[in-house]
Amino acid sequence: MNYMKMRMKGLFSQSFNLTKSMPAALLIFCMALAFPAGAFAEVTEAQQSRREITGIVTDTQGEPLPGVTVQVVGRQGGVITDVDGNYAIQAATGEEIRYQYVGMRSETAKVGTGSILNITMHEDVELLDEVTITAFATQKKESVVSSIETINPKELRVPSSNLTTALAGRLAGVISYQRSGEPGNDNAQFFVRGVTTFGYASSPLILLDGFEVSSTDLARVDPDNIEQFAVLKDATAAALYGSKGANGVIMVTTKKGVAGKPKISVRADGRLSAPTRVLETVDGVEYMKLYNEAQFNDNPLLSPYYTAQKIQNTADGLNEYAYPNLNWYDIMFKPNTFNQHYNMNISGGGTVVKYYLSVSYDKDTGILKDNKLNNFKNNIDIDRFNVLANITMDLTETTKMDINMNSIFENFTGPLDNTNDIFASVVATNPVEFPKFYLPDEKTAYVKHTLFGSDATGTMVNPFARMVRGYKDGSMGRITSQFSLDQDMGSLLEGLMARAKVSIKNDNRYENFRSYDPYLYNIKNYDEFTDTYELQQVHKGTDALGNPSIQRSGEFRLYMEGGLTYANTLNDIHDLSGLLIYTQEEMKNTGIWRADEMTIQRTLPQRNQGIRARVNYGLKEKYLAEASLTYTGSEKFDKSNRWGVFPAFGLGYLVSNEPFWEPMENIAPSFKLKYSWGKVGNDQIAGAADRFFFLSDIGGGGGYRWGKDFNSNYGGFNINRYANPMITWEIAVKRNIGFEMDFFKNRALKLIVEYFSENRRQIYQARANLPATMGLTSNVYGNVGEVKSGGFDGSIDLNHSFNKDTWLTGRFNFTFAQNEYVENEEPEYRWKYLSDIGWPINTWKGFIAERLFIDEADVHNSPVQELGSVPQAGDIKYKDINGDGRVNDDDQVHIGYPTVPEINYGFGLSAGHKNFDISTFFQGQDRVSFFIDPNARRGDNFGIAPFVGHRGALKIIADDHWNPNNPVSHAFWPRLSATLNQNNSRQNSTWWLRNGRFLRMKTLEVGYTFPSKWFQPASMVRVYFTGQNLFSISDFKLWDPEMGGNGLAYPLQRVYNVGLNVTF
Amino acid sequence: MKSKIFILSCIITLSALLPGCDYLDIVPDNTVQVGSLFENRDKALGALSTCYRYMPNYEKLHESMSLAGDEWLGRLDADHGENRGLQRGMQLMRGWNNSNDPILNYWAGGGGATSLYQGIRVCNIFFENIENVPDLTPAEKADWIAQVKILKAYYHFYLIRLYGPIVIADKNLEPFSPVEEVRQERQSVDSCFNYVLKSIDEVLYDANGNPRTELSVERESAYLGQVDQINARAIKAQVLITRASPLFNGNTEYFSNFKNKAGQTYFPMTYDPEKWKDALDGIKDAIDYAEARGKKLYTFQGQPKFWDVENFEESEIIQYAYNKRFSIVDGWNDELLWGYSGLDYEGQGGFAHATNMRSVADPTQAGYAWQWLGADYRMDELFYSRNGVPIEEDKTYTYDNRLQITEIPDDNYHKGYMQVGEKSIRLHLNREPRFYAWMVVDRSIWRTHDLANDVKMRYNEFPGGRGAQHTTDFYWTGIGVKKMVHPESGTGHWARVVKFPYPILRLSDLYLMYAEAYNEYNGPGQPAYEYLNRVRAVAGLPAIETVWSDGDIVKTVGKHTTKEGLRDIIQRERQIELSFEGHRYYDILRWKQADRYFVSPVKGFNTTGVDPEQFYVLMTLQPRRWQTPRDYLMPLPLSDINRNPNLVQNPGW
Repeated sequence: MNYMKMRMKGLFSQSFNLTKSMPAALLIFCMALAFPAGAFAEVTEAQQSRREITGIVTDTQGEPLPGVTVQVVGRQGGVITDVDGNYAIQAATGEEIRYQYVGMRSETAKVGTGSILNITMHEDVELLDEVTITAFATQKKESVVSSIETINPKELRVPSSNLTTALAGRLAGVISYQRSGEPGNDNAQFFVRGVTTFGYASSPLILLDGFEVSSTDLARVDPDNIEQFAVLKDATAAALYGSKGANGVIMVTTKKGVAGKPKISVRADGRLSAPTRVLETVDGVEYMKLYNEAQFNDNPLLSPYYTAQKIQNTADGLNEYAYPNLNWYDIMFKPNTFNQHYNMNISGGGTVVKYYLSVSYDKDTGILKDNKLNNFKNNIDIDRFNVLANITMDLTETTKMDINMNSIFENFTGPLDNTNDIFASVVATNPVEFPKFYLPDEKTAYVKHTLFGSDATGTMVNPFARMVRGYKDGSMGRITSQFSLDQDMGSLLEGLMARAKVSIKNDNRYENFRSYDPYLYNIKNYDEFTDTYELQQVHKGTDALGNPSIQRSGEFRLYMEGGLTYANTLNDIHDLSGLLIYTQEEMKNTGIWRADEMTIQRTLPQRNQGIRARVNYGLKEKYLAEASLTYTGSEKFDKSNRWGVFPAFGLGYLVSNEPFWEPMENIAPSFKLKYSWGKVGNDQIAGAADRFFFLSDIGGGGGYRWGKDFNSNYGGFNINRYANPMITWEIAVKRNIGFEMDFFKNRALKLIVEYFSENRRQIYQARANLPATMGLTSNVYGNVGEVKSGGFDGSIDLNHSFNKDTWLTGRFNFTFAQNEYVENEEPEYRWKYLSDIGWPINTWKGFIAERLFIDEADVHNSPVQELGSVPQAGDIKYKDINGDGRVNDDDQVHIGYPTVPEINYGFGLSAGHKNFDISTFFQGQDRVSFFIDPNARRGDNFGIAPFVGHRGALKIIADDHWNPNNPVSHAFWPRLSATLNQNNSRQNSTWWLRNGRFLRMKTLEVGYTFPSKWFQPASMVRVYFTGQNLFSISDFKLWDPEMGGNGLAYPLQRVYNVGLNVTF
Repeated sequence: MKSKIFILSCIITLSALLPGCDYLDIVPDNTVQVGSLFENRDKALGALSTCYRYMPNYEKLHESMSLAGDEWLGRLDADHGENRGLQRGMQLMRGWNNSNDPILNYWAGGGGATSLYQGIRVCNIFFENIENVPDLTPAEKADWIAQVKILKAYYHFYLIRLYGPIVIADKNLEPFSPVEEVRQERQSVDSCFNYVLKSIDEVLYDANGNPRTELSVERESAYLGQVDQINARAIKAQVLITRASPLFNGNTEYFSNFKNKAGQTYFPMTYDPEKWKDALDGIKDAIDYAEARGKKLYTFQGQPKFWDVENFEESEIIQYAYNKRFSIVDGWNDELLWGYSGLDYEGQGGFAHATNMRSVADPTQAGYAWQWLGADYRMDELFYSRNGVPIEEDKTYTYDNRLQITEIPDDNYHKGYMQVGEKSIRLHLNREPRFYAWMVVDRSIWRTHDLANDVKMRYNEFPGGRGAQHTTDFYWTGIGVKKMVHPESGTGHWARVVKFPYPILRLSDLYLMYAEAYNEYNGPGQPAYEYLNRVRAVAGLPAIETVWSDGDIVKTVGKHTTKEGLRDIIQRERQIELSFEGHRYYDILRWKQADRYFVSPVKGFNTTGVDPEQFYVLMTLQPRRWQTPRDYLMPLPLSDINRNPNLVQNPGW
């Protein structure tokens, strides 16, 4: 079948299927212009000899199809088949009757002389694939020269209420990983073709039905509502987004109504969720011994912190309150939790109005324990409602209106503190200092409040008290409304259409933080003989919840576009299309609740404005060309540098449409080569608070006091930024070359491989060569950085039916994206290896750890390590790279792989036999490093350093550390220290570097579809089991390697999901 | 219908195009620019205030050089004592500094300090714009400019003391200048000193050497703490004596190999005695000028509190102890030449808060009275005996038995200062009044919280002692310091803390400078004794010539008659008189005596001792590391050496 035939067939079979989907409709709407107006005249003549035509519509298995729309071509109105598939319609000989049904390919039949027309409809498997949404329009997939990756939305359905967690390994060209498993806060990071800038923003632009949204908005999209999920990877695809497309574009389109009787689909999922791995902490007795060892290592002059008596009594398990020995993890967290997900959607409509309506509900809960003594819950508990309404109206034959309303409402409660902090506090608290709470003694027998434990000064944090001392509750509403109008202007010029669109988003979040101040107690006296203790209050708390502190945030976004599109085929060989679009958008006040963020710069709206034009040309369905030009402006820059011009072009060659390809037809029916080049801009080069680069920023700074009573206090100033009107766009020059190839007659195998490269220029960056003696109070910035990146991505799709009952599909995709600094503002290093030039961004610099110092003589005979403390035996010995006899920052080299994986891959297989189906998907990443954080910040304690401030310790540290009695040169943890050791814990080094590669079974799904007769009127009933994150293979065992250096955060979850899907 | 909608869509399309070009102009006009900081006098005062903001902090112990040296010892527990970001001056003495991430980095900012070059830049911005202030009288304008000139010179001087040769930042370099222009070189130490002296002289004298009058002589009440003619001269005196001192004057021992890229030494390699002459003249000028304007050594004139009335009648030393005690904490008294007034008025972290004892009434109330910063044992020994000579020099003082336990006698010498009848050691008895005015030892009496409190420092004793309830907040050496706490200071709220300016320069400092410069230039002589004796007299001590000639008291009779002997006496007097005020560290450096003091460990009493026998055992508490000559100069930050290849790192870093 050559391209021309296919195209014509597609045109005829689909031109009446206005309702299949919005993109399809749009494309076809354009194509419909190709019909001469005279066609309508012919139909009217035929009216005279109408008679009743009857028949039965069945599917390929001979089952009757109820609800099929039957229409006479060119005439308004129509009929619908009954339960048994019967219909009756008035038509004349020579007229064409069109049959439409959701999920079936439309059929047309010419009325002959008879009065019975029985029709068999075929399932439409290819329709989705045939058109692709591109920037501001749709294109036939075959004629696309851009690099656009689409995915079957079904594949995004994972047992998680967060869509972003499904992306890793599914899409060629997307690098993705998930760092936290906290419900509501578990977004995965994702980058299109890797991170290609070290500037402020490296995340892609996300468009939901053509309107910019945040990654959290994307996370909340119900996979059941997705019509198409596309990633725009190269310049021709993204250039039209001008100021925002430099990091790639993710485009999600929701389903549109399809004419026909209402089709209802209901889904229910129940999910059991538990951490993939749980951290092990050290037992109390060992903890105390090790603490004493640590303190001795720091200062042998001090007496042991824990007395031998206390250690012995704890070991003997004397009194659990006087001698506590706790596992804080078990005290604070449940082993698992149960979540639910429901979705119902209805689509249908007539010839004028079509609708798609969907309602979803999610219940997400966390694994935090509640305090039975409180009547409130501090566990994470989110109720989320997701309502989508897409309505399409054909106002006239040439005018179409779309209304899209997408709302998300959340009602939640949760802990007062950041959940990751709560998890980290388990490691930050030692097992022996105090119990979670005391049982009352004589004096406190009638006290109403909980007697939370603390140390003698009341300064140590009781993580349990901290967790249960309050809760937050709140609500969130996000409403997006979009209205668009498409006008066929064929009467002016064949193939011309006008369009206009307005989108508004309003987002409001409101949270109450309610808490009491826990009373803290400590044991004053413990009497061993009577086994009783006397408590003392070390911190006076409050009995009741205080007034809440309230946080509100909001975002308002307004987007407008208007323009013209054109598509036509001239003389049967020239396919010409184009568009000219004007857009403007505004965003105001996102999520500000901290007083220091309420600055003029931060709160002024962000605006963009631009004109975009594109021309596509195809010659004889073989040679394809595309060119585009975008002219956009941003409010961030000085007038002289405000506007940017971003051109792009692409070329395609459909080799398989050449006559000489004929012999290959059966082996490789389709083969396309494509190339593109273009420039894309990025105005997100600094945060909203630091935008107007042409202005200097002078803030208030503390002054100085004078006067007898120090009362003459005049506020001073601080220059936070020196004005620079030259600051302008960050620019990406992207190139893409690739081929697409189908194999075998039935196209069972499809291969796409693309090679890409990019130069990101003018990256906004601080000048690094201005010495301190200039006395500048802020960095001076310029558009100076440049990054070169490149790589390849590809996918293989397999699709084969062995027979009527047995099928197999498979998919493999692979992304390799690498980058390096080309220009980086850095000092004139005396040693060239210090330069970042030539190294990937996101690669850490650090010391090369050789081993641990054996003894003091070893320290003495080694290069001096000037890293903040005086090293001693058991500390990490670093390599003196430049051989100057001292180890300092000049000895840091690039170590490991980047912290963002260079390779992401995924593969999966699905198979079905009769009513059973099974599918599995594996996902992996490689060429990635992360660092164990050996720090111990007490504010946001994510490091694992033991003992600092009496923090707890991980079991692995107890098991494997340097010991003065057995000084080994390698151990997991160096010399124990009761403080944050500057030499060991505060330096980046290979000691803490780990390989972050892993391969995990991301999902496993087993399903069974009941025979459709069983549950009439339901047309389909399927039950399934899905497991997520069932196992992984990795060199790293301490925590889930996907969490990278964030190992103490809310752990990633393993989910066992049971679901039911019913379609009516 | 069709046409209507067609028109409608056209309208929508067109209206979207309408907003036009000013859609992106969203920045309001009146944002703050440099010029607007000098719009009027009121705003310009803010700019003047900003110039002062960069004054190195003298109040906050974690963010100042004042813990550097060997006077203090704070918390030793792992959280605090081993924390590089706390007690930074102390951490310098442990060999923890480096060029990677310098502690108290006054060069580039960081490690608890702000870059003084930023302060200098602000001063230059001030000069560039101050002419534009419309409502400033010419006299006031001239006064402000003169002040800022002195400040700028002081900032340079502060850098010289820390770093030796520095980059002179006389004019501001533009942020967008080519990189070659901004890579300045360090100037020789002499050029740096000369730059500072010239800047000060330009304010004080005209081209003919006649005094200029732009700078105010003194400050009215509302502007106390600003630079004036008196303290400008005192600053100059300090610069001159620093320049003449052995560290900077002909120091071939340390710095003969410390050369710039052209091969010239940064330090002068020949000793120039005339620098002492310049110092002597400058100090004399400063003293005369100050005295002519009413500055004098402090003597307590007020009414004693009711709980001290009886002591005032009977005690032999209380008048002198009061003189010295209040000479620091009685704010803006006549002895103070320049006080640090940039206090963190409502915050914590100052010396007053860390050194004050907790209120006996409320042991758990830690705020503003943390009771953990105390003195090294050597300070316990430093003060004179009651005869006004070092205890190791006093024949009547059995130095070898100084740790012997003895009962505090019921006499008029110790009355009101030691708890009669309690057990103490000989070391704490029969000392000079300044010892009782400023030092806190077990079984002494401390006037604080507006009360005379009995201090108890043994294990599980309160206030001051270590115990189960005070595991970190206690005097770790068993020796406290009262000098920085006003006797009426309370706890728990900032308003209860009595504020006073931390002394940067006071008259007794100038007197002692004079004696030192005189001795160095002329050798021993009456003028030197005279100024020494003035300082001693208010502390109740006999004249130098008398006591050092008395063979019944001193072991080395006539020590004051030799240049070396008198140097020793002057140095000891300085260390006592200016103890805990942030002078000792710089004095020891300029005398090149770090190897004598800074290498020995910090000692203290055994705070876990329950009875006197256990308590009065000397313990080594913290080893110290000092490398000569490296640690005499602070390291330039490595990052700046990398940014500016013209910079030469200080020796040893």
